[in-house]
Amino acid sequence: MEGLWIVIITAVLAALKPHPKTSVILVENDKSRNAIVVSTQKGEVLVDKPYTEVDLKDKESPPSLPKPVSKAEVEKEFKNTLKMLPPKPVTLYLYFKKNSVRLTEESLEKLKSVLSVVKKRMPCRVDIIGHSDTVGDKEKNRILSLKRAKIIRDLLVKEGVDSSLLDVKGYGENDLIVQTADEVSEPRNRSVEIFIR
Amino acid sequence: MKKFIPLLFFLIFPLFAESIGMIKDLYGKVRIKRGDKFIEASKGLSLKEGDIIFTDSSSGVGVVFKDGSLLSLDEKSIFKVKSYIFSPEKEKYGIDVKLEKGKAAFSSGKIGKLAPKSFKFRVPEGVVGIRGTKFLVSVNK
Repeated sequence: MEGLWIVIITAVLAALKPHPKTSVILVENDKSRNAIVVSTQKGEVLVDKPYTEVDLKDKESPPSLPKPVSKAEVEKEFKNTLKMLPPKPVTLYLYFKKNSVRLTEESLEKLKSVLSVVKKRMPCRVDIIGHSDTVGDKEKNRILSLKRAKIIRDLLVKEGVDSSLLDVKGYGENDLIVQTADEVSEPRNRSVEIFIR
Repeated sequence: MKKFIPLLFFLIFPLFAESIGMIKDLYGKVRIKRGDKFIEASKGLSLKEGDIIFTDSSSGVGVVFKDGSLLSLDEKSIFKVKSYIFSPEKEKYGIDVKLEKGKAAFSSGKIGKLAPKSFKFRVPEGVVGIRGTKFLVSVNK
């Protein structure tokens, strides 16, 4: 398990012209093969293939059978809608030295690119989530992970990012990036996760 | 004076209601109905649970939710966030939204991954939900 940051997109769907009817089109799905289910009071239909449409007539009728639609047609009909769909959020990681709130040399270098992604994405919100490895006391690790996250927040604020856009959390060893047993020194778990949305 | 304090607290409390997402991009005229008030939407505006988004003609909006879910609305659309819960610390998740009118595109985020069954995208005639891999397999067999 990769933890909470794991990705995104199960389905992009679109509904149009609810009166007199609604159409739902699955546009894309990810590798994990999630699917959408379209239902009314009278039945449900599973849609798992991209560019498939289901129509709804009213509450008292079952959904139509799924039918394929052309990509070109969807892109034309939903041109403005798809254009306004924001870009997918980005997750970046910065790593820390053992039992320390000091960034590794490589991550110190990477800090600039974090800042440039944040600035490029404005207006945006940023969740800064601290993690730790499993060496030592759980509560101490939670505090350490929060300190790590706050350090990253302070660095971003110093570079001119409005602090009200930043949300800081410390998960300690409760949400490991790499699953390990207790008391394992794992560099990838000594990290701060930066979710830019 | 004392008896006014609880009332005041009640009045102020909604102001601190947690942000569940933000307006990422928009064009034309987009309004948010929050409680009894209409707010003119602007880029960067925080959204709250219960908000209803209205887009005028020749208008559109893009929204990013806290869990990374993405939404866009075309012109003349009405979209309501009935409830939205994203609380990884408490492992509580849920999205219940409704497109009353118009056109929307939606891309699911962490909630769709972590708690697909808690996802409800309503339309006037029914509901669109997400099913995880395991469910899909059992259905196909």
